[in-house]
Amino acid sequence: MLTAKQSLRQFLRLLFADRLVGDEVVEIVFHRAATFGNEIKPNDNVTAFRTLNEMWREAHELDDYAPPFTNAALMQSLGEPPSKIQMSLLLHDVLGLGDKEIAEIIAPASNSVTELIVSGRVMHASRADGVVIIIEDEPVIASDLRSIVERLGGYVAGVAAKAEKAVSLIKKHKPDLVLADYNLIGEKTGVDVVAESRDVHDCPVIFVTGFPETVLEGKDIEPDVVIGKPYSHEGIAAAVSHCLSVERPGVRQ
Amino acid sequence: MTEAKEHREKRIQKLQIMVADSEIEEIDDWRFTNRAASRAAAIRQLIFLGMEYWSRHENEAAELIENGKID
Repeated sequence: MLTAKQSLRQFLRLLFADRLVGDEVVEIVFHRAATFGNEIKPNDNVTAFRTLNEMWREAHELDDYAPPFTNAALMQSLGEPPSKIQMSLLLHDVLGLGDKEIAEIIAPASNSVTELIVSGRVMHASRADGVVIIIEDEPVIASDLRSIVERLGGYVAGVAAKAEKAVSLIKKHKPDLVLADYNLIGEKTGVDVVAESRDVHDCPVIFVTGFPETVLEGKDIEPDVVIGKPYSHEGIAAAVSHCLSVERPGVRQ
Repeated sequence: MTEAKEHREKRIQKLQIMVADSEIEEIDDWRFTNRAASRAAAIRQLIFLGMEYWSRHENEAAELIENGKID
């Protein structure tokens, strides 16, 4: 069971397809809650996500630029807050939150959570156009992941079971997305693969792991997107489709 | 909708900076003393303060740089 902070981290890293930006926004959310005397309890997803929504909406609705270098200025530069459809879909299909909790997070909403999720799935269906590399040492799961990606419209350029092959595939194909199992055959993990290939090619990486809490602690080495095992087809589909369509933050040297 | 809102910069950029371990410690100390949300938030605030100082005390700021306090 993830804490509210870990769930928010999982959501925001996915939303931006970027660990660094996601984790930064998490810190701002928790800081804001603490500043307003509204401490977020470890299992209180509703307060955590509502604080995010409130903060983002406020920054976005300002008529002028927020003062430079403030947290509000950073929130403005993130663009518009996610829609209720997008939020419901990701919270339900990827994070596994229940309808009741989601309804409290997105309230007020004129549609039911179920309706919003269905709309989100329809929007995502067959819209994941991009090159994907799969890193998975279990053939049945690799084949399953491949079929999910292909059904969405993605092209799987290669499947690797070991870290070394994964690195060479990423360097060769420069994929739009990597879908990786955290634990691989051999000594290296999926994180090692990403660390080795990132200098040559930086793209979003979705990690599928049975222990999501261990890679949602806020450390530098952690992945952009985390999906818990056992995964659902809807969860992988929503995450893949989202990551292939999102505009990631740029890096200035 | 104002012009600023209409044309607002929508992109966030990551900026890489290199500092020594001891300098990170100084930033972290400043962060905790001033209750910044994160290390990055502390650095943003310090940039803001530096720019404010420059705009209010340009001569003194230039002197600090010339004297090698900042290079």
